[in-house]
Amino acid sequence: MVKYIARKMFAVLTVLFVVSFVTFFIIHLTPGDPARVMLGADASEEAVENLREQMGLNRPLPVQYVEWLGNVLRGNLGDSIFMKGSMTSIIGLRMKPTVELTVFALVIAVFIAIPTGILAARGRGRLVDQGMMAVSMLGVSVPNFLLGLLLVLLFAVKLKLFPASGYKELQEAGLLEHLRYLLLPAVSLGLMHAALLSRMTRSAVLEVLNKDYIKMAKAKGVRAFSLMFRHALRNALIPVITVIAQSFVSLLAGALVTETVFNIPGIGKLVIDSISRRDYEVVQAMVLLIAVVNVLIMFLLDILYGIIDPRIRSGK
Amino acid sequence: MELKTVKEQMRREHRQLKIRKFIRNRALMIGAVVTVLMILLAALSRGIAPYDPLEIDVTKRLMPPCGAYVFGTDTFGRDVLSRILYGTAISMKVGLVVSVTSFVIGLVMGLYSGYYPRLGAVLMRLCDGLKAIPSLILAIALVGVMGAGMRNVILTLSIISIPDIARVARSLTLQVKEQTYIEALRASGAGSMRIIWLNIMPNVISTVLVQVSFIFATAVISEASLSFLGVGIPVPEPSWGNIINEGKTVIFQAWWMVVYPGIFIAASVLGLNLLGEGLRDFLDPLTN
Repeated sequence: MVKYIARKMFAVLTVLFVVSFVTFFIIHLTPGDPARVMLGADASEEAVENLREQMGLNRPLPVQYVEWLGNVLRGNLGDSIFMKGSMTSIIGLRMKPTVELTVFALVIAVFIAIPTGILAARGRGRLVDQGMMAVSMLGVSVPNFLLGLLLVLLFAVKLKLFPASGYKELQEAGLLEHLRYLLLPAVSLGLMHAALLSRMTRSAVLEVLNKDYIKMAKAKGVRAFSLMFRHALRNALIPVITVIAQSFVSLLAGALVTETVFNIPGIGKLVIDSISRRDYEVVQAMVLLIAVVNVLIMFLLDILYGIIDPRIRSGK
Repeated sequence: MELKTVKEQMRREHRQLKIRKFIRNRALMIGAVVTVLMILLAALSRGIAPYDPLEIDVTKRLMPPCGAYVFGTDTFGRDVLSRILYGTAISMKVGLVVSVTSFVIGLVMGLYSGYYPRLGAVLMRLCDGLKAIPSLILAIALVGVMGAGMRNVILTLSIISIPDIARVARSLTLQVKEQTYIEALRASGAGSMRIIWLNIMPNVISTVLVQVSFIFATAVISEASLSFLGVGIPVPEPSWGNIINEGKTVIFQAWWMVVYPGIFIAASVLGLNLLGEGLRDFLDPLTN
């Protein structure tokens, strides 16, 4: 087990190294001098020189990288040229709506996807299966922002049931109002993901249903219900849990777009606003943060599998 | 169970298989037709667009769909249909260039990293690192910092798609490499170059092509999303994403600015996805 963890740890570190490299270079992709681009053409030469000094742009690239990495490891993610306060506090403030939206959407996605995936797998090849797969095919073909706007057109513009955009704090507006504002964004994000998740559930369940022990159970007369839930679903759970964990990160990425559609002041909106304000260190910090969260979730999953299944541990 | 019922069951299953195969082939057909149609629309957009997509006429602003303006007009009185058609050209161009670039580079990377395990280990770590950052976030950050525009969108989406192709090509190469006939070739003195390009590549390419059609679909969605967020194709040049972005600000008055470009996006992506799924079943000998 220790050896297994060490091997995974090594893989994680190399991936993080590549990630740090990519994120470090994001700032240097600006057309021309980053400090000049960030401050705009009207800024004085002095201000640009100051920012250059502050960001360490005067030093050679390898030195800059090592310094930047050192800062990041100490928890200093750089400074915003637009907002006051440390990067961590800026991100922390904006994190809440995004996490709420993501979790809400994940719950919706799981509640839709798992039952439909199982139903489709059970009725494989029949009308249920084909119908559901057709719907989910349509679902993966509609971009996130489009579904959001279509929901707005229907439920906000036409039926006037929900607000078209905005976000209300739980403490200020109360639970009902809070959820009323959050529902459309969460549904649009969740439905998108349900399409993908139900396909994965279907194929995971199908794979298990073809296993010998299921045939054995069927042969000895286990009832259909118990066969599905006690024998098949349990074993299909590992791939499905992986997908749910991965979903969390891709929903986080999707929330970026959904927040822009619905004007929710989360980290997604922060990234987009920061790009238009040329506040690139914020963008850099966000990319790094999300990538690290992603890598850590994958790492924890790997460890979890190692504990559950000794065959994975031995590496074959 | 009686022999008769078994036979009947087999016959029924066979019939079901046939039906399924037919339906899957239909996916391929529909997918191919839609894709070709979109590419044709893109190629002919200059000829068939009824108006100049950039022509501003504020007296005709936000006109609902009617005889003269089939899809209505936008906030500047520009014809939405013409803008969508020009947008088709942009989406298809981005999709095609990204698919071809990532196909060629990804295939070469995948073949060589499958054939040479050391090189593969290094390249795959690089791909893992790139893939650790969610694609859309990386795309937004890269294009956002490099500056909006077609060239940067294509460049970024290619960088993001290459690892996907490379991974598929590599894992297939690893399988094919272990086959006896490759061993026999090596024993009879065939060079690595020859084995990779004449013997492994033909066995790998069909599955990689399936992946390419999904890359095409993803590229279309990504370009639309980037343009919607204002970091893709810059206005006033029309693209599906930025038409919808403009429509978002007037969503209470002009549903047509969201719905019509939306239909084009969904139709073309659905077509490409169907093409990919159909192709996968078509090329898979096990589905017979």
